[in-house]
Amino acid sequence: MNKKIKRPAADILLICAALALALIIYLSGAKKEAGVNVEVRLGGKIYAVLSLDEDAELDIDGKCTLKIEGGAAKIVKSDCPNGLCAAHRPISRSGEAIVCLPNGVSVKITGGGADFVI
Amino acid sequence: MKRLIAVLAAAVIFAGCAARPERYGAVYTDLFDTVTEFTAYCSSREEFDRLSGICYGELKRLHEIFDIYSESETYGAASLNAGKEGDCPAELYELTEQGINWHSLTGGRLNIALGSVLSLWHDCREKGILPDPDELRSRAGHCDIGKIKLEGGRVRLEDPEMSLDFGAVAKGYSAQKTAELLINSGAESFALNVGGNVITYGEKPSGKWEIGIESPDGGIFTTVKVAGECVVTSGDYQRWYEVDGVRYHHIIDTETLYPAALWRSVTVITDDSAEADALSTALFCMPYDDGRALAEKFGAEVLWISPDGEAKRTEGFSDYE
Amino acid sequence: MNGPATEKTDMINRGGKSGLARRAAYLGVLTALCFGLSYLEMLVPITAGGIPGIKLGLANLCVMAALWLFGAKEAAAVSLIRILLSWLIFGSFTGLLYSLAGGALSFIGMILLKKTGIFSPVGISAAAGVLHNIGQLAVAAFLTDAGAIWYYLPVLIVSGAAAGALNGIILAAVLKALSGRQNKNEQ
Repeated sequence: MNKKIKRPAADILLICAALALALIIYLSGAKKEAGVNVEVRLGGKIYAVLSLDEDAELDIDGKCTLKIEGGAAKIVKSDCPNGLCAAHRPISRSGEAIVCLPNGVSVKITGGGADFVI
Repeated sequence: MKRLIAVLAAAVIFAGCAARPERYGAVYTDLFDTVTEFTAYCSSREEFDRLSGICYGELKRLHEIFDIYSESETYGAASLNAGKEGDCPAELYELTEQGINWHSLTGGRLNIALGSVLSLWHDCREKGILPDPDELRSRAGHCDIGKIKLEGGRVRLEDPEMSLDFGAVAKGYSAQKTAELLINSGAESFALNVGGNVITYGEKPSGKWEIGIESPDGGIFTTVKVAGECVVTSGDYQRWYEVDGVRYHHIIDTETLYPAALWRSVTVITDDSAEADALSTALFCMPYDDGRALAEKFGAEVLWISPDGEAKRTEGFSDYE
Repeated sequence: MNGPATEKTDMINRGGKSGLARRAAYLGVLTALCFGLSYLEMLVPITAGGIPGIKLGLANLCVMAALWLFGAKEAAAVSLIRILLSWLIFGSFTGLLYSLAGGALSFIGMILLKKTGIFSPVGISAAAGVLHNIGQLAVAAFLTDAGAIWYYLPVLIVSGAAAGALNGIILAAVLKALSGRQNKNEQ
């Protein structure tokens, strides 16, 4: 190892660029309003839309079980191998989401930010 | 390298400090018998007031041209035929022309010559009674769109009992015209909602415009995100009256002459607001398969909500949700 | 290949047939290690900010080692074999798609960044971590709901960069240790 290949400045710039990208995406998607609806999709297609206000339990095609309780939504059971979706914290704000990749299930909080309602 | 970092940092700071357009909004309640909302991002209050003035002025002008429920029944055969060349507003001529075109494209589901039937329903709605079926049928005999003649910049009706009603298309058409004027007047980012006919232009600083689609039973069914497209919903919950506990809404099927009962609501997304308005009314009166074929012909994305609350969508509709 | 890497390649590739066997043995060990590390990660899930599914990407350590010690083709082979093995033993078809997309994107990124010659293993590895997550999320956006995926993106970019940088530091240490050993051998 005669020549040092470390060039920290370039590395730091690269990492900062990634972090800046993350920040921009976070700010663009961040909505602090409480959500209105829970949109459930299976394979990208809408499976159900539930109100966040009403406590409910939904079986998503036998794959996951969604629970809405106290204005927050959570996946309480899933048959996926890693069970990551069920480990996700409850979501309640517009734009927040839980995705179960193996099952192609996504649960997203919507509403609260609409410009018009027609 | 240090200089590069410094330049990048300066660029970020500069972008952060540049003047951000503010959100302004106005509501007009005296147009098209409905509520109109205008929202825009402008650099100053003055700029918004200028645009809002243009917006209201243009809508008011168009409202007066199309409002069939104004004091004088403007578009009966008598008044149209009496007019001389040059009396007919260009917009009336153009929308009549479009209306005739939509009649053939929608297989008669959209008929601007339905005025005599619709005015009967309108009178009955005011009185809270149901129209006499015989009277309805007899009036339906005066709805032949082929009897509209477009000549020399004039609209003439060959059937003296006939009248034109632009209720199904005037709001969409007016929203479209107004939006075009706003764009030509320098507006950069706005959304206009004329009684459920939404037209958008540009984006908000935070992204696309978000339009909530009402659920027929209350609440928001879904939200669509658009930037430049138009969204229109026709729903049986928008305007209705009750006789003996039965609801009668305002979208009349051109064949049965009674309120269409196939859907609770139909939402259409296209690039043209007039087209979206006409299409949503026509689709509201059509079964799914026919409607789907028609939507494809227009390149429109559609959401149908059926009486049992089930939703159907065209392939591309989900892309907006 | 850069100067220092060529030295090491020579060290491993040295001398005809026995060199080839040695190379195969090294690559085999790396692939096995790669698979073992990815299995190990499955057993220890990490949750940050309430969002689960964050990975250290230790498997990429072996891919990078192959890239620095042998070359692009060999590293691609290690990565691909690891992905296919994981699929055959634990996976589903969609899981394979995610792995391939993440693996391919991060691999291409690493090759390109390494070619520029201005980044150390730490920077390249951090970029690889970010790209791996972006690749996976791109597939996820396609298969599920792009709007929901957008929500995950910032967290996974940050975690990808952090985990990648950590891998890069380990890799740098490994490369240094190897070159130290090589120097000893040659004395």
